[in-house]
Amino acid sequence: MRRESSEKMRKKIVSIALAGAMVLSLAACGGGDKAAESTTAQAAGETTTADAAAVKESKAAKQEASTAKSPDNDIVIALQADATHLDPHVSSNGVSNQITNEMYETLLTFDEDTNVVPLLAKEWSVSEDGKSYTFVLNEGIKFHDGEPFNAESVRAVYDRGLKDSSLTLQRTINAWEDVVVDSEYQVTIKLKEPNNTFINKITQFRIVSPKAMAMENASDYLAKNSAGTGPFVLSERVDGGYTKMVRNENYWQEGPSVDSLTFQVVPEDAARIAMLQTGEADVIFPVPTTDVSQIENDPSIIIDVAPATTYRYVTLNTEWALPDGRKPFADKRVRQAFNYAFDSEAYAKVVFNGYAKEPTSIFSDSIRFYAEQTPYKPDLEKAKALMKEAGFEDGFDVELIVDNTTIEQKGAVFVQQQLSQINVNVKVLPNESTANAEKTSAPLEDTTVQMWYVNWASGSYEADGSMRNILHGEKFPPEGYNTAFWNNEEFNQLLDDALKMTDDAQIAEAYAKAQAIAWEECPWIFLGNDNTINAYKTYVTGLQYKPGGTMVFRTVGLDHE
Amino acid sequence: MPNTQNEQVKTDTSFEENYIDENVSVKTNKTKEFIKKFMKRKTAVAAFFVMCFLLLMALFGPSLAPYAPEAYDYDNILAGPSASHLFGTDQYGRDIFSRILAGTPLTLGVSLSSVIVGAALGTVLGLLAGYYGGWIEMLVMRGADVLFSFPDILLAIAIVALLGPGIVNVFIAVAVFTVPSFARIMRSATLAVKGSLYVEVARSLGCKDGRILFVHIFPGTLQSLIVNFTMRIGSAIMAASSLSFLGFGANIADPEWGAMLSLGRSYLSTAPHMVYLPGLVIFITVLAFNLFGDGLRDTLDPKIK
Amino acid sequence: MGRYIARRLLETIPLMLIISIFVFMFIHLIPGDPARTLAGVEATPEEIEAIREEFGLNDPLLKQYADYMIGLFKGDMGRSLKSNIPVTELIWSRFQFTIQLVCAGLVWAPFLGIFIGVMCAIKRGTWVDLGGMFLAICGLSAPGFWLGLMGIQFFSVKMGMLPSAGLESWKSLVLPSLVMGTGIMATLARYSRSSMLETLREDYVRTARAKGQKESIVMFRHAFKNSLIQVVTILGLQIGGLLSGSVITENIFSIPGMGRLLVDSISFRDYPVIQGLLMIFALQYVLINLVVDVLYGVINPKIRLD
Repeated sequence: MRRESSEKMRKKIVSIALAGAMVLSLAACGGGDKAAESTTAQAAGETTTADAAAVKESKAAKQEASTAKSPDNDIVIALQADATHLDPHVSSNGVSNQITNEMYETLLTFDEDTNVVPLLAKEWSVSEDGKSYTFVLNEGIKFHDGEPFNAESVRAVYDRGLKDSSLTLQRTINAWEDVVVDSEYQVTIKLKEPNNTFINKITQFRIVSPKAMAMENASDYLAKNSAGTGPFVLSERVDGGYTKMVRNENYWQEGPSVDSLTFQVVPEDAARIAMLQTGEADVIFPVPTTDVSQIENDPSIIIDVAPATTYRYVTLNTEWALPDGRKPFADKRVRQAFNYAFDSEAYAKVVFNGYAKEPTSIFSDSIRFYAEQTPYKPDLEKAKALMKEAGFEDGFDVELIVDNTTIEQKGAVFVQQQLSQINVNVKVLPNESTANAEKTSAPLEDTTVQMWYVNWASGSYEADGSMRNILHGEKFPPEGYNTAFWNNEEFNQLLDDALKMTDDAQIAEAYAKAQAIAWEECPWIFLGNDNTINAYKTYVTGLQYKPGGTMVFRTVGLDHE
Repeated sequence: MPNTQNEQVKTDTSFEENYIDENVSVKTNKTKEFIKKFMKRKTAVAAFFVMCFLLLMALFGPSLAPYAPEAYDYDNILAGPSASHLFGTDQYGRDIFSRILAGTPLTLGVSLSSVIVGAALGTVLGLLAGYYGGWIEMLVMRGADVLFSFPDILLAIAIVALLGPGIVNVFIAVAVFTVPSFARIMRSATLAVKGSLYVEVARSLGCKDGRILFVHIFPGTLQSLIVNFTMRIGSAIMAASSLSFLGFGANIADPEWGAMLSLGRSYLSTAPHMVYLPGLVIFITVLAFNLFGDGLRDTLDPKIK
Repeated sequence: MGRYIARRLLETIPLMLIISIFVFMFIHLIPGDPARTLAGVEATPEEIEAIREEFGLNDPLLKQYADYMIGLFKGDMGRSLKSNIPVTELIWSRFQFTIQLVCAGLVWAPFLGIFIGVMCAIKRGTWVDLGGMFLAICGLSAPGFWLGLMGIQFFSVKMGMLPSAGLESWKSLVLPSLVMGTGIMATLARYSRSSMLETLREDYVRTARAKGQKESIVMFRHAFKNSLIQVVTILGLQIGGLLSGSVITENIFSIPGMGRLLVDSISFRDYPVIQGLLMIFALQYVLINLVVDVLYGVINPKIRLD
């Protein structure tokens, strides 16, 4: 059940944090750089309100002008939620990763622009057939428990994954054939078949000390002790309360200058804002969009607005039948009408206070191989005409399930209001995420899902991960989350072919086609991407970023008294 | 919420003294006298009018609302109170005043109906326990003890944990949470009446148990029932809105007061009227029921005050 | 005295047994197959079977209960489904926060409550009495979550005077303690007023007055001291209210106590944790009442005889 629950959490990922960042050679990654670079620039400029841009501009000036100093050298980060577990192979949701990534590192990692860059491995190469990847490791690195880091420790993580199928580590290694130790500092990972997502997924493969993993109750040990190579060492934790770490004095590269780092769980939005204002917290994440105006004029606070990799949508169950037997969502015209009736600009404004972007494809433009589509501009006349053509002029009653968090419900009610314009009467049914996970994992013959307000982010920022689990015809629940029960042969084939390709141009072409098909077919109402907003005191230095606005504290410092 | 149980405790203990001073039967001339006495308590009378107003609001409010509760206006979101929007607007630009009006039947309905059901159950159990004694009493009182050991809304939360969230389950939870206090109070009331002369007489005349219970004993326990009933409505509103606030209650799309307040807390720093005003309405409502209950008790018990 | 305590302790045992049955049955009362509920819908039949095995759901109910009780005495309440941390450990790590909150509420509220109550009784019928009692009933009627949020909005957001979350310093306890204590203050004010008024009617008070003792001495030496005994009993029951008040308070002020754990666990359907928490809450409450009863017996020896 552990696997199941983390699987659920995965859908809720707001952003995935990864191990310590190094803005190194962009060349290391290959073809995706340009796309990534331009999208960041774009995203920052195109955010639907001018506010976002203004906020960004004022950042440097503020940092210059501010004379505020931290009273101590301990950094406190107020987060909305807590990690489910500190064993990095058990938990895998966004918050868990945010916290564990300060203690555990990976062979490769992402920079701010979704490029894969070295971390524990200093270089890597791929074989001709695309089936084996060889990594050369950095030397002289020690785990928190004193064990040396080497090729054997990489192998040991793989072994742990093989032995225990309940770990979320499974998802990273399930396409692997073997891990071969070539020498003390060289390791080769062999794949069952070529897989274009491998290099992105390796950024989720967290290295833990073999000694800790060999313990009988490794997870229990790791819940209380850290055994990674990261810049911080776990010091104390109250589950659901806070997680405190101290600086790793033996860190292998340039590390943080703060004495300690505390992640404090503060679910109440207003409380997080107040904590930042009073200086109780040095960094808060996320900043609720409605509260940005509250702090943007504070001279001691800097706000960072990052394009989110999270994509929001509503699934339309194409197999769902009305009491009279008609299947409204089986008709493409109805699905398109829904998209024409939905005003994504107003959605960004009302639900995210302007801090969101209109959708231009079926996943975020910060993901590699994104291909821009023509937006469905709101057009009520056209929507009504399509509904009439499809024989649903008078609309119908439909249920929309949604998680019961404030922001999710806010969006769902907005959808309800929009669809009322074409006589569709939406009943919003908010539930705890666990209850929704039960509903949405029911197979087609048992499903009660009509519409589902949800969001998706690929933890490893790749195109396949952004589509397969939620749109591929083989990913009907309980296999995946394709609750639209949309099965398009051509789309499926494109995804399957692209996965095995090694040529970037070919991959891009296949994914572009796939996106165009889904965009035209509308298995969902396309809602948008909201920005990730972080805020921190001007005296916080050395903060780095990951894609999707995830913070990295590897070199963090405080300008203190 | 630390308050809800207090009332029960208070009535529970003060009942005995109530009782000693009072005659057993409540007759019509007494009713008149009661009304006369009650009218002297100005706060209680005021509370009574507020209560009546709330009930009228529940019945007619939704149709008197200046706006449709679902009518949105994206150009006017999170606006503070003004002449056109008395209580301001919410995150979709919906009129909060209209939504509060529309939510009155929901909020009051759930609380009233759950107290009625809980009180009925508790009364019957209490009467039976007090009258028959023995294992029935043991069972009922131990049951009440167990329920009481989950203090206050914890019991309601536990029940919702069991049944899952939702307004129907809140209704059940609040009803169950109401039962033990009535069972206890009615038991002690029954015990007191049971020994009285006219019950003895009725019994010696060969009346059936059922008749003795409901014709002779029940009316004698009526006043403690009424007092507790009024007091519990306040607790029930509080418990139900607390559950909604915690996200275990009403559908957040519905204009239930606790749920409205819960949604509003995301806007605490930018649009505090979304928290202040629904909270104020809950407060005034609970206050009215409590003041009225106080007045009732004081009128029925001339000793205190 | 020893016998009295022993008797009260013995009386508690059957109650605790019934509570334990109630809490034990919790998981069986959930509609549907408990193993399936615990495993989640995605679980394979093998996984469900494993759960059945792990939780001993194949055993006869009586044996399951016995195992549960043995575990309970060993301090083993299973593991959290969400975090896989032992429930006992999880609750223990949260316990201190809730206790801090309860104490923060108890530090001022009962005293202020009793003070208001006594003043109202002394100044009976005056505006002091009216004002005090109106304040008290307002305190009873104000929803804690409302008070708490207004407190955050005013003192933290607007004035920046008090912290709004966590439990770092005494300052961060101020607002939560306000929310925790309001109800108890109100109740005690009301209660001590009526109890004081009653004692004032007692013979010994009348006698004292008749003997011409000073009014202040009559009030405090005779009336106040005696009415306090009754007030103490109510205090015990009030602590139960505080425990449940912590659920709301902890959620508003982001304090990682047992109340927030309960709400989080309910959202996650983490049944072992819910079960454990209910058990602990009930246990605490019963024990507190036991202590109060014993105290009461100490203060007022008459009660021990019945």
